[in-house]
Amino acid sequence: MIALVIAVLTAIAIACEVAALQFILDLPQGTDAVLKFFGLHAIASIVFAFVVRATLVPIPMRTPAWAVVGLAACFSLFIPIFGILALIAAVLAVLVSPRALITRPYTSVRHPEFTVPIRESESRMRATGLRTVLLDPTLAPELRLRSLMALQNFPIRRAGPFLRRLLGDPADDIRLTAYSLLERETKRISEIIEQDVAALAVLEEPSMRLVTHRRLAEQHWELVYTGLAQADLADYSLGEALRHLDEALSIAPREPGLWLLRGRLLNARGDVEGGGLAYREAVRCGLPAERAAPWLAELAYRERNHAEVRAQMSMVDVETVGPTVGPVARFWRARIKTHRTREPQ
Amino acid sequence: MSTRQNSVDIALLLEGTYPFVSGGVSGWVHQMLQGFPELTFAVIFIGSRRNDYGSQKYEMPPNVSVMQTHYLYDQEDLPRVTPVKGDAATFDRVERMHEYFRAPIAHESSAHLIGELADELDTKLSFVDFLYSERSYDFIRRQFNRYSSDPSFVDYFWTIRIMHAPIWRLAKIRDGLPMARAYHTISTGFAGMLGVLAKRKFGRPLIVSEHGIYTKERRIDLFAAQWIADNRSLFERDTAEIAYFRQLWIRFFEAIGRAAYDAADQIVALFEANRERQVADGAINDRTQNIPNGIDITRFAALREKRPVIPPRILCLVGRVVPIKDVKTFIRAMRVMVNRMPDVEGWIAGPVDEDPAYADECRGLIEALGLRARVKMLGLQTMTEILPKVGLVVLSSISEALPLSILEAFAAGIPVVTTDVGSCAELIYGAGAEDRALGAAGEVVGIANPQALAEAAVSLLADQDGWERAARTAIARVERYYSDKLMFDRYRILYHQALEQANIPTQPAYAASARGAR
Repeated sequence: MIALVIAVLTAIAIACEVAALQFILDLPQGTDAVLKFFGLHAIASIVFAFVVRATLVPIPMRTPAWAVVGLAACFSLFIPIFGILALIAAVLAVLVSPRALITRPYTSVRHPEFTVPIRESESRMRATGLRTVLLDPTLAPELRLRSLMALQNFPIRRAGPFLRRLLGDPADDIRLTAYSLLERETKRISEIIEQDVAALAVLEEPSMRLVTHRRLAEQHWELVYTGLAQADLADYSLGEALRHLDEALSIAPREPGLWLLRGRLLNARGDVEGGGLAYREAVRCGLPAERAAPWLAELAYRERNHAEVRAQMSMVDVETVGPTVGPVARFWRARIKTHRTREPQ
Repeated sequence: MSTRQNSVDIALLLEGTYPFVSGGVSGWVHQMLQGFPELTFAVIFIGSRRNDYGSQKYEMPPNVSVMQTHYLYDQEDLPRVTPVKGDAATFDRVERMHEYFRAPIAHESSAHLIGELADELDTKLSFVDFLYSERSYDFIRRQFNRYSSDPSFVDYFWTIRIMHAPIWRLAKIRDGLPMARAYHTISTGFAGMLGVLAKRKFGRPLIVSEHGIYTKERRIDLFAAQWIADNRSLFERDTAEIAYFRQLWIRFFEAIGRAAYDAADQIVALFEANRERQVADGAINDRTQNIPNGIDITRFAALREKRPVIPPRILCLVGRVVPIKDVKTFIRAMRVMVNRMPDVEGWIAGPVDEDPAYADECRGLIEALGLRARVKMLGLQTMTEILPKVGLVVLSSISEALPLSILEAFAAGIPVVTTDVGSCAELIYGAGAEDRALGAAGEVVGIANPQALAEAAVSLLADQDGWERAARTAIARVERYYSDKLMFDRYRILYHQALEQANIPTQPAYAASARGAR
């Protein structure tokens, strides 16, 4: 059936082309004859194009249909007779030529299976816990290195003491990994400090200077608080922190957060009295009393003033404070209760 | 090039050092070249990219008759994409070799495959086979499914390709190597791998000398590297597990390190702890030995006269300004020192151009700690000029092997305070019983501990008698154990053996057979 259609189409195309040629060869030289020639030649070209697409072009190359037919039609329209012959020759040449001419270098391969790879590691964390594994140099270095990796996820204040002990570990890998973890954190803080010091040199706007001095004080304090700066260097950092804090306070003397930090810095320096004054100043400037309470309680405890510790702790809201202060506050409040229940007796 | 024409006694295979870098290993290579004027050498340099290295830092001695420089990552010289099937039997062997790398003891019978496959890098296991063959792809896919704990196959695939491509580049370098009577690599890693390929091709002895431990140093680099992807989601991530691609890279360097140990006829470490590490990493005990560094003592002995009677309160850190020297700890220690001894000064003598960012951080730290007047960065200095002016030499490194700067300070009669890394403790306190009897030539402290470093330095500087005792010990120790004559004598024996062996044409002995004989 298809073959018959193609045969008929081919016959029509040939007939049209022959008729067209007749017009042009009879040479009447009129516009009329030229138009008739082009009309018939165009019909012949389009029909030919369909025939070529249906018979010669390999199936994967037949789409998009309009482009294939258009291209073939153009060939025969603009280069009468020879165009279509050349097109047929080209298609045949490609079809009979060696495969290598038309194969592309890529072959399809199988996909990897896209499943989430869940693999059991050979050895998991032991029940003995991080601390034991880390500090026991007789255990396999691989196991200890894993524990060290897990330590990365702890805040540096918690991980710091372990990491510093591991700096003296006999295994090089452990020692150097611990070193790089500590150094990375120190570097992070030092970079902020360095940038801010550079910024201070050009900043004039008081509000910006306040922010920068405050951040410098906080970052120096961070070095001390996390234990990254030790001994003499911690003293030096505390000194720097206080210097910047006082600069900040000279701009914003009634900022409670600054007074609170000042209290903590003085406290860390061992200046209990100065610390107490700063905490109270913070409260006077608007810090909620229950926020200053744990710090004041700490100072009172240092002075063995237990009644004051109890008084301060009674202000603490045990539900909202952090996991460190919570149990301490609960402990002292329990004493208040037992104290009170005992009192009437 | 004609290999006959370029025939030399020893070909030195150098990765990322001589003659383009100054300092430790490079200085040692130069010393060796000058120490053996009777032998001819080829200097084969392998680097990452041309841009990563500056100009040549050393002038070649006359006994270097061939010099080649090669860069592993310079050009993308990938062959044309061609569809290939790949040889099934070859990829089976590749799989067995990888099993050996995963568990060397369990798969010891596969050790010989490294050498065999190394011979086939131009034939059955060509670069085209690795890049384009279906077997290669299937192998990578199966390994991914079996082992990877990272979910990204695309990252896995490219990691494997980038990681292994240098092997075929090395095979190309091997084809252009000069004929030598022995090949001597100064590290494992890529230079070591080139040594393996050269030994297979020319059947000549291979010597592996290591200053640091290459795989260990790579490991540390890779732990800190930021460029390695980790695609595990929060739920897949086991916090205690190292990202899979990191593990892959580490294992790759371990594997090529093991290949070098397996093929080597002689393996040299600088000191006992490193030799033990080599054995732990797969080196055969009988083939290992220690040859410590040595220096030309007479050059420095003359400086002892020039020292002032009272040790100057000047501490000098001798070393390149790079993170591994931990210059920051020295600067922090200076802060502590200045608190105790306000007139003390700290000098940093070493090139600052190798890691300019780090040098800037150090300058920033000097400023931040208010030490501008007390700590000076002097840049590269001539040791013979600077040593008579200082009271102590300080090393704050986090990793060292056997530092020449300590030996030079000793020879000039200057005590040293150093961190406890590499063989530093042996240098200060002595290695054997006889050596220890000489006493302490300074102090050893933990790494990254500025407080301890400063306190040790203060106590040495403040105690004139103790300082003089340490100086005497330093001189006695370096003269007895660390002269260049001793080092050359030991290497002379080693080279002699290798050159003798080179005259007898033999099939390269392989590790598996040696282990089997044990």
